[in-house]
Amino acid sequence: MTERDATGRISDCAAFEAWLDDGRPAGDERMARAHAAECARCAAQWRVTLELDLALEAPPVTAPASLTERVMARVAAMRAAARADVATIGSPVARPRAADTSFSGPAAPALAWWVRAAADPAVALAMVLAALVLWRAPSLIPVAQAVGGWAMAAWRAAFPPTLALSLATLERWMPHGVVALALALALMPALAWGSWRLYLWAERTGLPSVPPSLTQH
Amino acid sequence: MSRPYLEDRECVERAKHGDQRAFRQLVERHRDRAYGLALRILRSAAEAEDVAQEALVRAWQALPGFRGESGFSTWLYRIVAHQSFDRLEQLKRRHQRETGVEQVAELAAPGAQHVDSSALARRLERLMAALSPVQRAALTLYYWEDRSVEEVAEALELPENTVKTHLSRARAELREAWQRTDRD
Repeated sequence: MTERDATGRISDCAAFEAWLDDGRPAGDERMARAHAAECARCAAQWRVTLELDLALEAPPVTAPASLTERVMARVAAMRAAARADVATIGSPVARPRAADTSFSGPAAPALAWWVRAAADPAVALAMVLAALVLWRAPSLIPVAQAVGGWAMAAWRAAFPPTLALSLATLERWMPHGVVALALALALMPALAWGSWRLYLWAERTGLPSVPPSLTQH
Repeated sequence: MSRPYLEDRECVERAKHGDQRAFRQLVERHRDRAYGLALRILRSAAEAEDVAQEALVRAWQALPGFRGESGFSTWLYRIVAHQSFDRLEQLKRRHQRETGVEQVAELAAPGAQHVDSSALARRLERLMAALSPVQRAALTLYYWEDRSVEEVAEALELPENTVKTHLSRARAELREAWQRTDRD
């Protein structure tokens, strides 16, 4: 804000300089002009500022003509890579990709959401696990019991007796395979939600950040 | 075959769905601005060209996440500014490693020749090397790209008052440097 005296005038060189630094607000120009008429130093500063203005009116920079073609070539390569990825879903052989094609860009939203979801390895893994639970539940129950028992023992060993005591109540129910299975299933939405949050976080942190040293002056 | 002119918003919507021709229109429309901002921050034609290319590719990749709350150009400026600041930091580190000299501005002297042919503009470009990267970015957006303080703040992700301070200090420093070179 430009400093002025009690009468609202640009009274001295410091106030005049502050007016220049503020980008010469039009409302104060008449007073600034009056001051510059009496002060050679400020008049010189104004002249310099006008020269700077002229320099700042230089025509805009023109990018090299080849820039568009190079950008579009990379975009096309990414699209092609994304299409090839969709075509090879389910293939056990991993296809090597160039570094700059690791992210398909807008190609992904062009597909239906369920196609994109089905192409996600995490979803495929979850589906396989769910199918296994549904079809092989009787075989999985002893496994779940064994894992549960091992986890309980580990928990008891790791935590103080008070916590271990409270776990004893839960342990009474654990021999029932259905309870163990229900607990495992109940964990799935929590895992899915956690994965989604993790994905959002990773996506956000993927943007390049501004080093703090460059935003301070 | 000539393509119909589409507004930015329509191009963005089409490009989001994978329309490369729509994205090409956006690139052709905004490449000079992207390159200009990168050039004035980095002060090297080669680095600016590389950063502008990366930023435009990055924009293509990030388009699905662009919600259109700001204009496409403001959003692109943000990407270019981030990429330029990152590149500047890398150059600075590399330069320090290689020579132990901190003045990264010296790296860019040849590129500055491309900015404009007029003597005044060349003189200004030389003086701008002494400003901080953020000041250069703010000046470029405010003067050359004719953006408001609010838009500059949005593009650089800084509070408006901080942008005003950067602009004010940049003007003062340029004026002082200009007078100094007048005397020399």
